[in-house]
Amino acid sequence: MLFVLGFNNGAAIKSSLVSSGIQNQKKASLLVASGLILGSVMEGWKMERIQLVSTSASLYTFQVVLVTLLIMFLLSLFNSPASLAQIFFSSTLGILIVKHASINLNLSIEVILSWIFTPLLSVLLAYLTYKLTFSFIQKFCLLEVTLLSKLMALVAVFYSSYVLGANNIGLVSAFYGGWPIVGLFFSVVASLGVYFSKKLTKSLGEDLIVVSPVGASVSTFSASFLVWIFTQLGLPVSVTTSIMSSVIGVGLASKIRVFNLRTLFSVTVVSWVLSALLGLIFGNLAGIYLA
Amino acid sequence: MRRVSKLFVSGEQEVTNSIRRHFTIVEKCVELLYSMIEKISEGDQSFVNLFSDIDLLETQADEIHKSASEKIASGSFFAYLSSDFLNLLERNDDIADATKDAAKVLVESNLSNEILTFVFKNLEGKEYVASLLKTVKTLGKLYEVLESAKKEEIIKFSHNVERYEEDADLIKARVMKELFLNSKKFNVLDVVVMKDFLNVADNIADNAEDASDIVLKIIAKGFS
Repeated sequence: MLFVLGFNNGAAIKSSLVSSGIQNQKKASLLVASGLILGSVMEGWKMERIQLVSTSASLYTFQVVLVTLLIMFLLSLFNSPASLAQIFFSSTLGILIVKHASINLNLSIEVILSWIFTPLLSVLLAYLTYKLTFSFIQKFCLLEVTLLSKLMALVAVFYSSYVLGANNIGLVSAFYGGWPIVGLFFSVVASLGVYFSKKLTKSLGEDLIVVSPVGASVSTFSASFLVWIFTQLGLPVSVTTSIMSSVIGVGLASKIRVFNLRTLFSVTVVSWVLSALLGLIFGNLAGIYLA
Repeated sequence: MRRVSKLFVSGEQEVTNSIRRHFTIVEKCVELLYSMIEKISEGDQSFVNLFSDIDLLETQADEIHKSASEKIASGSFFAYLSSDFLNLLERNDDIADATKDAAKVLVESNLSNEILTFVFKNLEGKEYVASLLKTVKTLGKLYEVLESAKKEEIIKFSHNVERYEEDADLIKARVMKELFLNSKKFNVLDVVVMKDFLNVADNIADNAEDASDIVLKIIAKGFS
């Protein structure tokens, strides 16, 4: 499952570096892998709070992993963005409901609220950050803007892989316990997924709206910052949804914008709503049919 | 710190240096065309000798254009702006081509001294070519500051190129008008060829203006 996460999400993160020619495949994979590992090891432990959702949660880890893998695979078949955090957590809830296990309702509500607020806050934060960045870069010459653009892309990619490691890999590690060794192992597995994804996947948000390299870096960075905030609170959120919502925010801040409404629908309905819903439904089924 | 940061953009600096190197030769072509016109206005028949120099320079420009284009196409400079820089090189090369074509018209058509004197001494023919040269030189100044100047300065230079191109158009229109008003004094073929020269030479300023538009596009995209 983490290999798939690295293959899918990690590859999409590195795409922006490779397709723009800032780095080759190997160096981009190395950068993303180091971000994943560092994030998982340094701050993955902050997701251990999620174990409080139920004392029985760790009993059904195998079923949860199976359901998550199945849903991520299905959504990948339809080229739809898949949120590991939402699928993993909602399938856990689905199983716990069927098994009549005690659930920490307050924590569950906190998680669901964070899923609702993530895209809204992402749009707002990206909008404001882009406005600031845009007025800042006007002070420079073309060469300086190019340099800034390259540096921003590198930092943004590293930071987004760092928060992916901290939040998503940290979430999975929390259920297996044994941080930091387990976290390190999982992040290495995810890194292998990043390395082996030679075929470029589209950068997150590329089909949604055309944004400049500076806009893409700003959207990635502001989304990652928001996910990092939620990581400090121990709440699992979707990096994918956050980045794509940020791209919308940057698009709104641009004077001329053309949105692909079909992709917008796919982002909001599929990534945001369907991931969690499918996780809950399949989690229920797994709880009933899998021992 | 500066050295480290220059490492990150050394490829981009090479691109802008290539454009400047290429354009230096293009500018020399247009200067030679103007020298040709000066000789014609003085009645100096040795103007035909300048054509071989223009031809040589245009060939050199082609070679630099080819190698610079290959470098831009194979590298990853200026990220998503590389196709715009390729278009820019192409437009600059078109200036050199138009210069050679215009010179060729004058040299190979064997125009009468009467019409040459009329257009380049009596009318504003020489001023017309001078305005074409001014347009090209302003474009050259734009390239000097392209990578290091602020956005507003680049836009200002670009607008100057457009202005001088418009001035050249106005002069050309006046010359054409006078040429046709007095066409009965000259051989019909000479009038047609002279008209041809004015239109071909006009491509020099038109391509310069197109190039300045591409620079504006680069600035709009680069600073977004």
